[in-house]
Amino acid sequence: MSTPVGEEKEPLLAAEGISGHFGGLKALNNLSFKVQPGEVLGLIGPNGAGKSTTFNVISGHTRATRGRIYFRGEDVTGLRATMISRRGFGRTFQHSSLLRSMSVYDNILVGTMNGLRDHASRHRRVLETAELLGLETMLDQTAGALPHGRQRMLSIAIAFASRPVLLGLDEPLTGLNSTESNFAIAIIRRIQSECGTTIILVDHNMHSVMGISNRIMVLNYGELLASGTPAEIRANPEVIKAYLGDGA
Amino acid sequence: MGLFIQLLFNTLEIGSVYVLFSLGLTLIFGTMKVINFAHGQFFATTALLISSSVPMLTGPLGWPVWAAYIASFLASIVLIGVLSVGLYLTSFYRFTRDLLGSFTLSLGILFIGQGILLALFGGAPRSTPRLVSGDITVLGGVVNSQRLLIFIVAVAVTIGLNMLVQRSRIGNALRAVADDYEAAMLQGIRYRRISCYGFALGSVLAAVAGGLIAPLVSAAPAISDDYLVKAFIIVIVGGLGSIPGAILASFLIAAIESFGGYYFDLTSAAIVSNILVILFLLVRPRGFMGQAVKVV
Amino acid sequence: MGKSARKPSRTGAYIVAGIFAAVLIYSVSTQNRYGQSFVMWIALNSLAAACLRFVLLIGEKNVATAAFMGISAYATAIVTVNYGWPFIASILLGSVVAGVGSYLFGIVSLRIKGPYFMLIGFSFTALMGLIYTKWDYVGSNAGIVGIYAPPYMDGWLPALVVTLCGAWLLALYLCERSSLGKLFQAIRDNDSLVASVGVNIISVKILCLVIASVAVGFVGSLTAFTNTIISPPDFQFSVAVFLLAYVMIGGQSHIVGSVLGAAMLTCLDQALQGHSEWEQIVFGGAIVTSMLFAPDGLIGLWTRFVERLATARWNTASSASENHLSRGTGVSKQ
Repeated sequence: MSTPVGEEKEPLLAAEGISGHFGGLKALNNLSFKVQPGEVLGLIGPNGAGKSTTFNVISGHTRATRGRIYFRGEDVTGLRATMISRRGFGRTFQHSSLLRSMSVYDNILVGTMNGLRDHASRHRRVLETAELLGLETMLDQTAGALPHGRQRMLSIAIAFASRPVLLGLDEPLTGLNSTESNFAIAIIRRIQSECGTTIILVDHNMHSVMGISNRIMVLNYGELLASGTPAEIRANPEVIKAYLGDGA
Repeated sequence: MGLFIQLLFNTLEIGSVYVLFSLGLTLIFGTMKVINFAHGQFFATTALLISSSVPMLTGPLGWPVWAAYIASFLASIVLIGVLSVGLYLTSFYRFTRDLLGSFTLSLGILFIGQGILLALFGGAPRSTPRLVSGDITVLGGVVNSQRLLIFIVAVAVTIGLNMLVQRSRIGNALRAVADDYEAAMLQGIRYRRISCYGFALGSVLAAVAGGLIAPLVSAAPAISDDYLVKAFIIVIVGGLGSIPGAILASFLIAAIESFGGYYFDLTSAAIVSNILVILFLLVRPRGFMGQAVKVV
Repeated sequence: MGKSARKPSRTGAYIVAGIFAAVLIYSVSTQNRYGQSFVMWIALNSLAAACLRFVLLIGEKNVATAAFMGISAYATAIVTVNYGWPFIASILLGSVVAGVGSYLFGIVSLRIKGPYFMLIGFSFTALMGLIYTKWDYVGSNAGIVGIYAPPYMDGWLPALVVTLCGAWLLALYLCERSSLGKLFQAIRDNDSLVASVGVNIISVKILCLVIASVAVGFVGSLTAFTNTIISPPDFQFSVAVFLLAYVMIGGQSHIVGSVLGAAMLTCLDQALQGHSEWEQIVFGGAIVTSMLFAPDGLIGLWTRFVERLATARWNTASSASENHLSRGTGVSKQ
């Protein structure tokens, strides 16, 4: 059954009035947005705009002073990250997103621990996830010994192993060369189309983010500057000013 | 009121020895994140050395007590200083910031040390003549002169140490290393050298404590154990690596022993101390004044 | 090859099984009282060391192992001597009490990590010791005497001890290799990552502690019967320290290391009995030497030896094939 044109589906995640100071210069101011099921939402903005902070707030790793967060219709404001993760929100981290001393297989296995109960289904899930992320030939290798690009794919594999409804990727393309970037982008597209997963993406590489996102949110100084399709954002004068400064 | 004063003086006396003993431990733990379980060995060695050399010097050689005492005290300090540097460079250096490794290593050193002390000095306790004898009455409480001397020396040492740590270059380096050793190295601080100094300094402090207590207690190889346990409690409650914390905690534990020991008994006092430690570790692992600790 | 992916070797398993069988046969057949005691000590020390090591899997140094051993021993002793409980029931009770105690301990203290958790364990052990010395019901300083195994166990006690310890060692090993074991190691590696995939870290850590403590409860109960007397000094913090030495010297990377370390140091200890200064010096020397030259323990030495052997073989093989090639094509090396 298709949704009538013009009517919005129930958002997967909704943030309302998120505000707070988070140590140092980090602050968010009355941030509200929605994430629609099945979309790829890109979160961009200049350095210090509050992208990572926003990400941490919705995943439960940081608590906001004010505002509410709804995930799959439930009020999850103030819940810890473990609880939110169990409700179907998996995410990667910029740093230390791996179990360095353990094998690729075991890394992904740990990702499945929460959702699946029996050995056989976990094993199958590990193999499927590894294949999706291009890691099926290196299951025995130690995670710490993998090249950087593979490590990034592994951290996505760990987050995705439990087949979360919402997948958050924190700078997935950072440090990747162009081949690896294209590979990662293809995987992200595949996750969205084959598994119907909703994806939130934070990254500095504007070009790539514009390329894969259905919608973009631009943050600046902790506030929502603009929101819309990549084309709309590219043409938005405010956005251009924020990135390039006045007099551009 | 007289009782209270007396117990208070007892606290200060006991506390001073604890301060000297635990300052060294917190320094070593604070700068190098190394647990030296054998810390007590320096304490015991000094006590034993002094208690065996003083009779030899005063007897056959006819030295006055104070000269014999000071001479053997200084000789022991130098010996301990050299020994600790040697120990550090050959073994502990490999285990900086490795808790489990340094702990196990120091355990081995503890056994070797105790064995050597047993072989050299035998298990029987020895006593040393006091430096100053008699008691002084102050404010209605009786203070043993030797213990008063210890208190004075402890205060002097603490002030001296504090000045060293706060003002001197070495002190600055030690604090930098304790804070963030990588950054300190980037600043050009020679980590190996500084932590060696820190280790030697901490060990010498234990030696000083041992030397001061020699006239008061029967020195035997086993004395290190008692003090060691208390020292760890004090260091944790005070905060790892914090000098003011170690001082505070030393007197707190001494107070528990002094007052608790009088109104109840020593075992109960020890129980209270242990419960205190556990509560501290659960509620405020950093102790009174340590740095914040990452908790799950 | 990733370490955690290394498959357990068949030959290794056969060797272990063989040694176990030999020890078991010895414990049943020997009439030598000393030999019987010796075998029991090694078995109990091995299991206790393995229990300490088990908690090491989540990255915590559990000094309180000694305390839980003591709690179990005292529980067993009390119900046997004061209430005449049957043998097996009293052993099981000991483990249950140790398990429950460790659960309560874990709820409260496993929120804390690293050196601070270690020191909580240290204080807890000291605390239990002090409580025993003050409590007349458990015999205060004198402890409890007369903890005898029933007559039908005559001659069979060593075999029972060896079997139970062997069974528990196997159980701990299998647990370590299971998914749960991998979860433990994952927590040690990067607990915030494990938390972020939805796992309740504290519950898993408590589970690890409880498993190890139930196992060490068996050690405590059996110790009560093998020694027939228990008193506060038997479960002091120094016991945990010895166990730690067994683990480190044997090698913490594998459970067999705990057994090797326990066996080696127990033998050393017995060999030096009566020469107390030398006993201490040699014992300490063994620990120091091991830490300085073989920080991965005996297991580490063995692994390195095997790897060097494999590399040597590969080198010989490749140079042999080089010679073969050059000869074959008639090209000579200048």
